[in-house]
Amino acid sequence: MQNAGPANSGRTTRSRVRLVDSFMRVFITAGGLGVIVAVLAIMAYLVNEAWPLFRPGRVTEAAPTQRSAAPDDPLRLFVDEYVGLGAIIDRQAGLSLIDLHSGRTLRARDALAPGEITAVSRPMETGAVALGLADGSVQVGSIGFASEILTGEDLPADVPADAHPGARLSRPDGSYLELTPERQWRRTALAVDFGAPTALPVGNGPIRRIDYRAGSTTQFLVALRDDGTAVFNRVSVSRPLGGGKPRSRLSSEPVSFKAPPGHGVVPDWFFVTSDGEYILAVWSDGLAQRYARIPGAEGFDLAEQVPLVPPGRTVAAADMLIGSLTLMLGLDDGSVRGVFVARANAPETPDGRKLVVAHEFESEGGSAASVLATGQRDRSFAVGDEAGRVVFHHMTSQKRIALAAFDPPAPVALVAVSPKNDALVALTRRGDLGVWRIDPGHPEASVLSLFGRVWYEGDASPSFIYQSSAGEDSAETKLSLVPLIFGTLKATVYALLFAVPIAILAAIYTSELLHPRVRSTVKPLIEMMASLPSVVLGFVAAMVVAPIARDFLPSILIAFGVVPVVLLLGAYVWQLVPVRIASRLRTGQHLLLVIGLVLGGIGVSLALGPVVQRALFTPSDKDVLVLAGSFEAVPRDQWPPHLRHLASIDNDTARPLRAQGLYVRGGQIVRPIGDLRQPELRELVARERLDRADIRRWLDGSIGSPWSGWILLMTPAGIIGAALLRSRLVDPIITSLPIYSRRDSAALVELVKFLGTLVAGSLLALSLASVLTALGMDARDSIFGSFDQRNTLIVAIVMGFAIIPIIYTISEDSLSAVPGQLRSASLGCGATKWQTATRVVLPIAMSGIFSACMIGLGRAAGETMIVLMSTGNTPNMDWNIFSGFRTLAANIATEMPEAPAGSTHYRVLFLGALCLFVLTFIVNTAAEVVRQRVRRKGAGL
Amino acid sequence: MATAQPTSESLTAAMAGRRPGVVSPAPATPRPLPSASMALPPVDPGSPPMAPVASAFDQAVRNGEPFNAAVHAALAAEDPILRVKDFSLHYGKSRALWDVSMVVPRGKTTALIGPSGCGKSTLLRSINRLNDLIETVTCTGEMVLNGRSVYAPNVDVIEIRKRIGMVFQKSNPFPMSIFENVVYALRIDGENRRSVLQEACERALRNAALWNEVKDRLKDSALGLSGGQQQRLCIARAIAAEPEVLLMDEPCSALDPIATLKIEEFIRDISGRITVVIVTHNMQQAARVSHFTAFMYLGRLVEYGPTADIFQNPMLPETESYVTGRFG
Ligand SMILES: Nc1ncnc2c1ncn2[C@@H]1O[C@H](COP(=O)(O)OP(=O)(O)OP(=O)(O)O)[C@@H](O)[C@H]1O
Ligand SMILES: [Mg+2]
Repeated sequence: MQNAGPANSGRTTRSRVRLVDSFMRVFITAGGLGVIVAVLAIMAYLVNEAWPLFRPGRVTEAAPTQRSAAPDDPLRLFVDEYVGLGAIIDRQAGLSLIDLHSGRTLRARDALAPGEITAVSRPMETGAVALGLADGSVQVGSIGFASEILTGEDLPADVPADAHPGARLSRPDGSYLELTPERQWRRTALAVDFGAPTALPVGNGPIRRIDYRAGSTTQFLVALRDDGTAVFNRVSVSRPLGGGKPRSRLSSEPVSFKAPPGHGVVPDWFFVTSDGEYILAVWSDGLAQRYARIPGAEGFDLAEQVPLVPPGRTVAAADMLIGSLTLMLGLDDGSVRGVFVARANAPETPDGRKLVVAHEFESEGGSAASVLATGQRDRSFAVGDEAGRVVFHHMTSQKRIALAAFDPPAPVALVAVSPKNDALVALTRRGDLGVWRIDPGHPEASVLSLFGRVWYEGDASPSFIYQSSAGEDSAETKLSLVPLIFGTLKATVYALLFAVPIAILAAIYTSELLHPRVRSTVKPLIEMMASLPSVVLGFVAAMVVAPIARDFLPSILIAFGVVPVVLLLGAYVWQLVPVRIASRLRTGQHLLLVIGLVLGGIGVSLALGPVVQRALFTPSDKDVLVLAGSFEAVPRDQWPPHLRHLASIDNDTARPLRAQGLYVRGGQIVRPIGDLRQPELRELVARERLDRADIRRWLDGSIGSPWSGWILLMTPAGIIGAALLRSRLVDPIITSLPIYSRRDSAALVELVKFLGTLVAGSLLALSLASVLTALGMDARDSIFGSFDQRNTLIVAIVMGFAIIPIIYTISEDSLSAVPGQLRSASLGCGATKWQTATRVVLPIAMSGIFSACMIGLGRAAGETMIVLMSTGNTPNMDWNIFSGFRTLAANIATEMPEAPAGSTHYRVLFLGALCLFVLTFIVNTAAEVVRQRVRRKGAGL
Repeated sequence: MATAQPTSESLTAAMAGRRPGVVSPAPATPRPLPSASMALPPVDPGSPPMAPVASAFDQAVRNGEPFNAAVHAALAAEDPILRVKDFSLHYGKSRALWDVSMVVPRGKTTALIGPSGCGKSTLLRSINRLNDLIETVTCTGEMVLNGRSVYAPNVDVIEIRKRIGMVFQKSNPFPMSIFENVVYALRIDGENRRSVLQEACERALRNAALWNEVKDRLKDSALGLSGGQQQRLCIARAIAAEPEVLLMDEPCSALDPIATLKIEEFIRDISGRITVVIVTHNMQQAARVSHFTAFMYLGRLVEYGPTADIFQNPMLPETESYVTGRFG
């Protein structure tokens, strides 16, 4: 038993050790799994919140089809907000009212107005309708429903006391009562309101076509009479301040309407757009005419005449989408097209605008479309066809929301989308009434509208736009996430461009060249920068850096080139210093010397900035003349041919004209006249300081030529190019010269070489700039552009400072981790420290440095406060370094508080978060793959 | 510790037989150990090795003083390329070299021997100032290479290192291709002509007895070589730029006998052109390749003289006990 003691104690220790071991294993496994689970849970949550965006809507409840009165020549069906009543207006201006629950006809074809009605406008979704009378007068009014909560004595006596919410009572007067979930009775009744007829000023005969589009303050009415005369009327309603009766004013403009040959004098459809700019006439063979105010003509004239359907197809139904800017055409094959007037710079039309088929919807089933109806909440519409199907689509997002069908099939005569977008109501020609409750989901969101180019109303072409809160009700929300993703990338790219070189050079400097004692104080200092809250950085960016960048812009721009050049120059001069003196310097002093050089470089930049600005960005005499307002308009027939058709010329198109001495003011081409020596001009120029050099005026395109910008951009490129050429062509020759073998003369040669490279690089830049300018290219189309005070440059600098510490720390660690014996080997071969660093240490540390950059990238992509505070947060999509942008993170931060939970906007924000998540995931995965490959290359140490 | 115990008599004899000419004065076979050595008690590895008789050296160590080395007269006749005078070196507070004074003859091979930790590597690294990399190192005394002080304030260290090649105790190839490893020294001098580099590479690899093994895979990573091959690659790298002085820190410790032999052959070949300072624990190797041998112990230079003398009739008992394997 002598051995038992130690053996026993040995065993207890071992089991303790094993216990700790197994505990730690479980603990670490649990921790690791926990992290993975947490990340997956966040991901799952984001997916769960964003997923409904992509779900189509669905029919939640289909009421059994009811028999009802077959509508005769119907025009439009209206339903009330609670889907209880349906009002049908027909081509003879008769108004019928049906009960949507029973299908019972409550009123049959009551005349809307006295007199013989010859035309009824396609009523707007708001119920606004105009009637054309046989005597040539018109009458406007509205059809709608009014709801009120009844209390006390208003309540009829026969209302049951024990009714359940949802209970419904039809009243003999055609209204109905319904018990709300709050146990209040709500009465809904038809409300029709028509004013007195007004005679139209021109033409003779009854009115054949009429259209009426009413906005809140302005209404437009077009009418076409039997004799083919058409007139456009604008009714403006002004409400006097301080109350009183609204006053309305009617003004008319003639329309030179002329039916195309071979077509009826009266078009099948006749519309005016809600902006009062265009009149559209459509014949059933698909030919459309657009009338617009052509410059130089009175009233409306024919602007274009185009077929809107493919050959062989005809138009079966037409109506305006909500907002009355997009024309919907239902074709005889059941397909639907969305057509609007695009602000294209079209040379073939006198006003440059063009009717475009922006959206196309395939037919489902192939039977002819019979009726179209617009949704009243968003740009959704329903199309009914001859086979009894009703398909609910969203125009802009091209999403198919839901499908409802009559069984047995019958041609659909009328369709309505309920005001809340939650029901489809349809009547067949046989008189079947169908009511379907639907859950529309998120009609505006589709893969196309979130990630694709979307053709928004009026735009020249499809584009990526993010505009979550529309200014007006009828304007649509634009949900493309692409500008936000772009903004995120832009911020990241520019910040990394700024931070990575500085951070890596600093890491190399501290790990390879700096004395360890100094290193141990410098490193924590830089790491402390990482702990600065980004709100503080953002605040500094917006309040300090932005104004400084605005005031010293030229200096800051050239500093990016001047500081490195000064540092290199310092290094070359340092080579000339005799070793006896140079070696006296301690490493701490060395650092001070470098800092001094950087400060010197900044000082030189500050001094040179105004000089450069004066040299490159001084307006020419012509620029000054135009700025001073001394110019004359160039007649249109002298404009460059490719611009003649344009109504107005924008800045980007205008800039190239500068080479021909032409300017654009107010969208029109002008040419400077006069003489700056004239006293009044001279005084004006002096007072407004119009002739001062200003890079910001160059950036926004009001002065100067592209050459100045190219010089600024090409100088660094030219110097780098010259250095590369030199190392290939000149260096091999110089190295073999005997002068090179002595240290001090070699240093002198190096210095001369460097200065030569600078000169050669500048010459190269000059020629490159001239070539690029001659080619008609302008940097203001890409990385330059108009200057916003809060711009990408600020973000790049400030966010750069936020990510420098991370990149620096990790790079420095991986550089320091390179085994010292490799350094010894390299130095032992007679390499300098810099050669050792770049040829031996850096390649080995590369994978670590790469990770550092990727972590910096991740930080930059997710950074919120800095971009939020130091950019304008406009979701632009250009690489202009002087404009703002909006990142996914900043977008979430700004908009989440105002997005109602569960709304499309809310879910789009979550989708943005998911995109950010996926973006980071992809970048990190790609980075990891690259890093592994780099590491495998340098493996085996 | 294993000293010059012949591992295989026959191999040694074979090597002796193949040696071309008489370059070194070293004996063809190691001197037979005196029979008395067998009778000595085994040395306790835990306590500092002690010479059997208290000597002046013992006294110096005990008092923490430098020791005046026994330098053989033959050295006075040599043309020194490197002159070390009262050179002391501290790692922080601990002293690694105690007033070392020696001359390294030009074009000859000098071996540094001594027990582990006695400062051989430290002395070697002091010559090309690689000790500068260690921040705590301070040194005093003089080190004159080619008449110019190595530690003078106005000296260009890079320039000095370019003239000195170095092979390290642990092989340290760069993680690049074999070719790039060998021509590294030329590359950093701005040599980019392919033909020059190729020629230098082949010559260096042949001299390092590696050419035949790697000539078909010069583009492969050097890290794929075996430990011994890596060491020979480092030798090739050190000699590629044809240095004036070659410092070798136990270059053959990881090599097989054949490769060792080839390296030794190379060292003998270059003697006359290149000055070699070689650190070795292999007495036979020292005997075979070197003209002069310096015995170091506890940071002091103990005895320095022609190799034959050091091995056959050393002046000091410490040297004798070390070379005969009685301690160390
Ligand atoms: N970087 C260092 N920092 C501190 N002390 C060191 C350092 N390098 C060596 N030493 C010490 O200096 C002394 C001499 O070391 P050195 O490496 O020169 O020995 P050596 O003779 O080469 O030994 P070996 O034969 O084992 O290589 C030893 O005591 C060692 O511990
Ligand atoms: Mg050693």
